[in-house]
Amino acid sequence: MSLDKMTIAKRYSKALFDLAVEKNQLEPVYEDLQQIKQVFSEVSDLDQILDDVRLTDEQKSTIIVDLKKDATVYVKNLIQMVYDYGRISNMVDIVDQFTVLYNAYNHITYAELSTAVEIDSDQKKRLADGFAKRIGAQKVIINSRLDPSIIGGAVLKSNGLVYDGSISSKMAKIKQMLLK
Amino acid sequence: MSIKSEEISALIKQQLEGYQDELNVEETGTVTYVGDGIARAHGLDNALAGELLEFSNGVYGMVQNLESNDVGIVILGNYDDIREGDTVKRTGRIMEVPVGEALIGRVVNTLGQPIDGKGEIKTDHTRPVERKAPGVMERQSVSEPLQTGIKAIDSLVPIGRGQRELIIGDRKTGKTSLAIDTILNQKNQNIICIYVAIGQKESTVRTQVDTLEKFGAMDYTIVLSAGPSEPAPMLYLAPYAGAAMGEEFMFNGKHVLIVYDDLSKQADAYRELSLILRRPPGREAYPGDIFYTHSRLLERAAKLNDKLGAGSMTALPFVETKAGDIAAYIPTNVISITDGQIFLDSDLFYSGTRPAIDAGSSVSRVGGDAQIKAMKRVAGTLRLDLASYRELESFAQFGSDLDDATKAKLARGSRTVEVLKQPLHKPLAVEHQVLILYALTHGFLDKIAIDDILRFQDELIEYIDGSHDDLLDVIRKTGDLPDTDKMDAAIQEFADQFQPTKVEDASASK
Repeated sequence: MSLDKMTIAKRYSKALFDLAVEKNQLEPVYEDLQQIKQVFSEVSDLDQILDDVRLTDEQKSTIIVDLKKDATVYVKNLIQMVYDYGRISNMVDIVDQFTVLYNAYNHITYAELSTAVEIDSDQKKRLADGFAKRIGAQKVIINSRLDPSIIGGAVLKSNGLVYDGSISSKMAKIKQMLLK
Repeated sequence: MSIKSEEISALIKQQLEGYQDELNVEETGTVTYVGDGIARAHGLDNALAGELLEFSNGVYGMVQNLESNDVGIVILGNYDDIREGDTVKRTGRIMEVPVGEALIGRVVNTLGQPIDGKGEIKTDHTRPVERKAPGVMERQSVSEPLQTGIKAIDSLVPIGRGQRELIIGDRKTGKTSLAIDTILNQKNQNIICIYVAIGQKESTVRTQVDTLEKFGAMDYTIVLSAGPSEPAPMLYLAPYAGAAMGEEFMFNGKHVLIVYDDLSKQADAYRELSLILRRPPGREAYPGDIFYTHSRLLERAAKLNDKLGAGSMTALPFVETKAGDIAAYIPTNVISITDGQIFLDSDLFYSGTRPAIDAGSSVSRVGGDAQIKAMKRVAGTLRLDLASYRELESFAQFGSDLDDATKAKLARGSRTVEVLKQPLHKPLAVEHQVLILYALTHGFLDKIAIDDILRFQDELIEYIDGSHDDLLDVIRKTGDLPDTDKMDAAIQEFADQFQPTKVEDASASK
């Protein structure tokens, strides 16, 4: 059975992360990987091109050379290795998984906030601080978006947990209770 | 009728008082695959095996596989409107079914929801579907008989309360009829029956329910049906749900009879969902834990000790064989788990011996202790008689001259086979069974023509019921045989006035 992309991403990113920590290169590696992800998302079919059997190795190597031109030595090696092992289509997953490890290492938590009305940065900051305290993170980065369907209150999604303080879910709960 | 708004608002107010405003924290995952009754979800890092999950459309699922990156979930309901990317949240509960007296007389599905259109089931008791079976010290050995009302079973392969007796045979050999007749015979015996139909055609289940209703057996019976059109998880879980309903009564000191019809279909359903969950297939493509699925289910049948109320749960699992092959995987598994098996043979069935019980391959490992004394005394030699008859029968077919002893043995044997025949839905009380078997083993039937035997039996029972009920009363009260002289005299009295059927061709009576 071929390995699924999650397993692959976990293995490569863990190895790279351990190496980066060991060599004290975490920040530059992280920066580089974000750049690479940027490239992959800008050139949307880059991973397919690099996987395409109709292109010769030379044609593909030129792209790889360009890709790793300005990277730090570890990222350079990673790109070459991932390409050599035919895992280049998993590159974005590896970067994403690395980001997860990086965030866990630095106690950074990402959260997705939905509110019914626009909130200002002060409110956002208070929310972030309160949330950070609650889950024991040092830094919480909140991505907020508007969602009028929740009527009021706020819904915070983070790490597979949903903190639901919305009016709509409270109303649903009351409805369920009355129907019982 | 006018609506009283004040009353209604007071009621609503009362209910709303219980509402607590609290931040709702839920652990969620994302569905990455849906199909064939199972789903996979990413996330749900803390989900437990066997935990219930709720999909965004309100359907529940049960965690089956915990893997490094995702969890495998069996969906307990309609999976048509679950989509990739939907959220699924933990509930922190395990699967439970409603149990209790309110279920008696109802037809329910695997989740304990009524499917007979008779309205809501009012019970607030629930029990977990999966439960560890009672341990060594919580049990006692089987001592009371469970009368099936079928002569061939009660005499040859007696079943005790708390026993697990496998009923095995090809399709169309009368397995279900055997179970239905057994349930019919439990009337006024203070036994609650649960009939679990797994993958049986809905029309068949309907027929069985009608039969049970006709004979008044629904007053003490629960029918649990997981039809073939339901997703495989429902079929897989049906027997466990049935066992949970039975356990409630057992732990309240009552006696329960549970019929699993049939476990080969449950095994097929479990194979299906295991393969879709990508568990490695083993022999006949069944998953590695197919033995455990059956052993943990059947182990829940028990006879509890007196401290726990001495309740019991007797299990009659069914297994369907293909072309009489009892050495296939599932049959051998279940044979080794149960305390004996009743083998129904299709050749016997088509030659008119019904119930088509093959006395040679059927055994009961513990039921003998539970047989009443009178039955033990009349049925003790039956098995040997039958075996030697079958042996002689094949010789006799060569048509050579036979000595008188052999002839007598053959005559007795063919009458034994005849006595053990029984029409559908006519279970016999144990004292009546003893009576006819007594007549057989004491030679009263030897002079009766084969074709007259069943009529002789019916009229004998009628006659003794009418004029010698005191003899039957002794069997009912003491469980032992009455004075043999009196027995002999009464039967002889009847035999003397019995009118054999007039047959034109005298040679027809062997």
